[in-house]
Amino acid sequence: MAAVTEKRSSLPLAWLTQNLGQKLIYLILIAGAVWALFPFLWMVTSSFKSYAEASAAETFFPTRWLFSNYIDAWNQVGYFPQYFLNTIFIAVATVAGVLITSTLAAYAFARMEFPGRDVLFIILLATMMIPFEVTLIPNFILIRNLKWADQYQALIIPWTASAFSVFLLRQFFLSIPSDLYDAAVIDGCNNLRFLLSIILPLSRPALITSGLFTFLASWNSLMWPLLVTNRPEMRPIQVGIASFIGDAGTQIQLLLAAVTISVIPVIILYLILQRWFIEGIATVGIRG
Amino acid sequence: MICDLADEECILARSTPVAQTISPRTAVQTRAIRKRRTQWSAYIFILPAFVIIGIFHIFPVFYAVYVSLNKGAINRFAFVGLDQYARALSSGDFWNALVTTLVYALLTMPITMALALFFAYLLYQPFVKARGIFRAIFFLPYVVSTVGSAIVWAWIFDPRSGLLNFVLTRLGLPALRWLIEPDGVGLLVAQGLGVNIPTWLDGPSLALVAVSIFTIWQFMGYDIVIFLAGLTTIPNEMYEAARIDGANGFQLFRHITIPLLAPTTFFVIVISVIGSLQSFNSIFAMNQAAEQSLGGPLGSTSTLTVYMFDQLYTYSNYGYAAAIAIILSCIILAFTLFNFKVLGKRSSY
Amino acid sequence: MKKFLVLALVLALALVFAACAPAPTPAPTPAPPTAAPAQPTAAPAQPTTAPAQPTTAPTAAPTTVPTAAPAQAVALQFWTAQSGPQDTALKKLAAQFQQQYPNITVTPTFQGNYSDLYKKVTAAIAAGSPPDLAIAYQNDVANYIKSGAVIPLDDLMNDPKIGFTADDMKDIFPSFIDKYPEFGNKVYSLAFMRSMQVMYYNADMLNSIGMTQPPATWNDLLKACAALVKGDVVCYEMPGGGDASTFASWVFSNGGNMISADGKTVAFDQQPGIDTMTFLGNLFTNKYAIVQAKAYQDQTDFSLGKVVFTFGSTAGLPYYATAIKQAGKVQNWGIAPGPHTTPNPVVDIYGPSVTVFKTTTAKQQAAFLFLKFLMSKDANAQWVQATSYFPARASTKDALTDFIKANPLYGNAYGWLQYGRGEPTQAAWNPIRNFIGDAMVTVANGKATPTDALKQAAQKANAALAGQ
Repeated sequence: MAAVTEKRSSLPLAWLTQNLGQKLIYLILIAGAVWALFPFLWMVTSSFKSYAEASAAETFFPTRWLFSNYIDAWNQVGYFPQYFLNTIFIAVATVAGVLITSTLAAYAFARMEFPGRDVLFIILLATMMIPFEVTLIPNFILIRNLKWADQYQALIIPWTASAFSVFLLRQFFLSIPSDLYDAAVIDGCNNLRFLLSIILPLSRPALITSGLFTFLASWNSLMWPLLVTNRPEMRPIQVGIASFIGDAGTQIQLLLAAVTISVIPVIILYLILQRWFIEGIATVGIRG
Repeated sequence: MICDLADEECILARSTPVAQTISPRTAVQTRAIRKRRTQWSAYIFILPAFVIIGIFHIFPVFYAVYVSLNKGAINRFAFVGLDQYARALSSGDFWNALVTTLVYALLTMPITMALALFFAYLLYQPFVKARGIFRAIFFLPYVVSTVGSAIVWAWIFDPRSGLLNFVLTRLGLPALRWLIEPDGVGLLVAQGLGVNIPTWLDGPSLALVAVSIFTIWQFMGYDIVIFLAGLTTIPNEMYEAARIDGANGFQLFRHITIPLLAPTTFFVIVISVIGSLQSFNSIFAMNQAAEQSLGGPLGSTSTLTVYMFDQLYTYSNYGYAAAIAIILSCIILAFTLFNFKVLGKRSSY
Repeated sequence: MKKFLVLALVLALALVFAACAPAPTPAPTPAPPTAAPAQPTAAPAQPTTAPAQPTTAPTAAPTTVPTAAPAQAVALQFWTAQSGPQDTALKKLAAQFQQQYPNITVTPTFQGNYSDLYKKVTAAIAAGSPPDLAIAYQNDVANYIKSGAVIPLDDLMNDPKIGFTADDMKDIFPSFIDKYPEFGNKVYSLAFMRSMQVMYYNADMLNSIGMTQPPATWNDLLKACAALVKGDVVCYEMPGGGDASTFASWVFSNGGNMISADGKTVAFDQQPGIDTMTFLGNLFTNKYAIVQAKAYQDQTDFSLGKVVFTFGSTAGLPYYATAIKQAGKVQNWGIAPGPHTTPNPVVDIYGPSVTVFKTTTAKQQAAFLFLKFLMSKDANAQWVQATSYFPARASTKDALTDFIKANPLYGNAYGWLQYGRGEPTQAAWNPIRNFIGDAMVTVANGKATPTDALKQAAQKANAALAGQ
């Protein structure tokens, strides 16, 4: 471990006189962090305000911290625990599906030779170019004909393949030196083995990135779940958030409390994944 | 079906010192071998993804094409051929929306990417402590549901009591109307300086700029995460070797980071082009938080997707909306193919 | 350590693969490979058959016709945009209804806000599986009528067994029965809730300049503005996208109409409309008014004493009351019908209605029975107390004595229901509301004269009414 750190300390920008340069970089990073964090913090502090104070938005901190907002939000939605379980289940299943389908497809597009490869890849990408709204009605019709309404597969299966993830993983697979592949082929390793035993371990950052984005997309989806479910027991968290927006006003403090509640599990997940992110192949080492 | 592919003869499964075993010569030879061999099993690899994509993402495209050739109520279409396309191409609103789309993409994409690369690179510096915390913070805006963050940004942009105007006025600058300002930024600057400019210099509306600022805030962390993942794939040895050859920090960035990050950068560009040209959620949420009509004020934030949405749900013009969607998709496809042709080749991917 | 992790990951993934391969049961994955290419081509063909015989689905059922309440059990899907306490109240009412009609089960389901709900209903119509009844705004209903998905309610309303009696019809406010001039002037939707566009005024401020009553003429209003607008305080805040309902209520108050009698052209570009828009322009040129940059900013600023008048829905009353109480800056405030040149005040009454979808006769009748129940005195009174909307019947007031005592402002507004007028029900009215809103924003920004802005809006609106 110590050896690794030593090596990394000689990376670029160390040329800036050690302390001054580092301080400057910290300063810039902190400025960036403030810019990213401030609106979020304001949202959180506002979620503790009274309705009047939250909607006036004139101060950063509440004059009185109303923790009861969270209880109110929780109770008003009624289905929060169920929503959470649903959302987590749907998101995890979707991520699993996407990782499997995308890894396989990305590998084929990155490493294998087959007729129509480029055309198929472009067709795949082209599916990202159709605006989501126009796909709603035909997909709704499909779900209805499959008799999947109000079932988990309607919420999961359509999103278990993603052109985005295939593309992301393909790019990372491409960046893995082809020498590895050639050696493997010479050694008679077949593609699936090579993918599983060499490529995947090296692509951890990409896999996690792709999984994270898939997870978030699933976590934040509202329109599709609303469309294919009727029973509240089948619905995800965003439906709960949407319910605070009324026709003649918005219970802004409760809405923000609900948004904050919905973000917490994602932050926890992110922090858990954090250490998996940190070292890529640079430290896992193809340096034999 | 996948298990059938398992190859008993695979020696490599357990071996780790891979790179060591390769000499340059064998690599060249094998590459030649590989080029020639068509691997039919590839179709099995792509099958699962294509089944799902085919059903739930490609079929809807056909449906949209079909709808775009019709007019009328959702279940009582009447075939009109290419009329809807002709109508779009002859509509002023359509062209305005197209221009707004391109301007919005130009306002958001380069800045988001540049900032993201910059911060990702700083974050990747080995001495940076608490890297995880920083990365989490940068990523946070993308995590928060847009409904919530748009509300907060509407507060920040508020002309009367907003933070932004507070800062501007403290700096001795005039307060601005941000999200409710339909006038172009060029025009506003010219007015501030007391000069007249021709209309074509008006520029994008301040409202569109404000929405763009919101968008950049939202998506910077997204790009940072991808760039960071890309940076981790660059082996340290590369830097080591270059340093031994006497390269300085900038040269390392220029000659190692940039080229080796090319696949990632290329990916981010392609994704950003697609994403920003069909961007909808950020604009929609901001419109709502600022109590604007869709694409307001006065249509100045009406991008093609927003315009399509409006046609779909306010006007119930299903055929017309589908035609716009198809045209937009073709435009994005054209940009993407261009990216692949030009950038893809240059970054050798 | 790291190698171990890598190994673990590989193993885990290998397991996932292995687990997935032999388990093709999750229906979709194994079957469709061949179906996938076939389906896209087959499906577009499907809708083409629809226009030819749009009646296929419905005609199958209506042969068995029970005239009274259904003999067999009927389950009704009722799609709503009602969440939180409103959703709870609706579910309670549905349960009460089932006590009266044990055979009929109604399930109200929240489907997102009104625009989400509209999307879902539209998709369901396209898929041929609409709900049995749904809450909808009139312009949305007009679109459902165009797709032949909903039924006219006139026959059911007049049905001697299950329809309304003559007394009922006298009791129910006319603005709760939606007629659609575009479609033979038939009734396609009924309402059990409405709200009203009213003027909220800060009585503290008016008192400070010696006005004991809210302004009843436009000049009085301008006078109050001239006296009170300074510093942080403005007279009126307009939503950033304009506000077609405020415009309509002002036009009504000026004795004008929004649409011509035959419903074919708009009428808001006539003199009352021009007066209205000119008045709005004056508010802005005198700097009495500002454009809002946050949703519901007028409510907030009203509670902070930053705006003298706001024009909005009575549905906002609870929000105003809460904000005012919590902010503690405004002591006396009230609502009024707003200035008018007509002898009596005229108020704009609006709100969502309920429409019944074409299903089976038994279901349609059951749906109508439920709708009738929602509009009945007791049920409607419960709903009103949970939501502060206005009920469909004049007689409901008797059941609301305590509620009105507790909410005097609501009681006042109840008295103006008799002056109510509705906005047009045409399908095109959705975009037309946007044209009006844009005209208001144009005027507010000084980009065109009130007359020109209005002319332009009217031109677009007439084109939309003519059906592009």
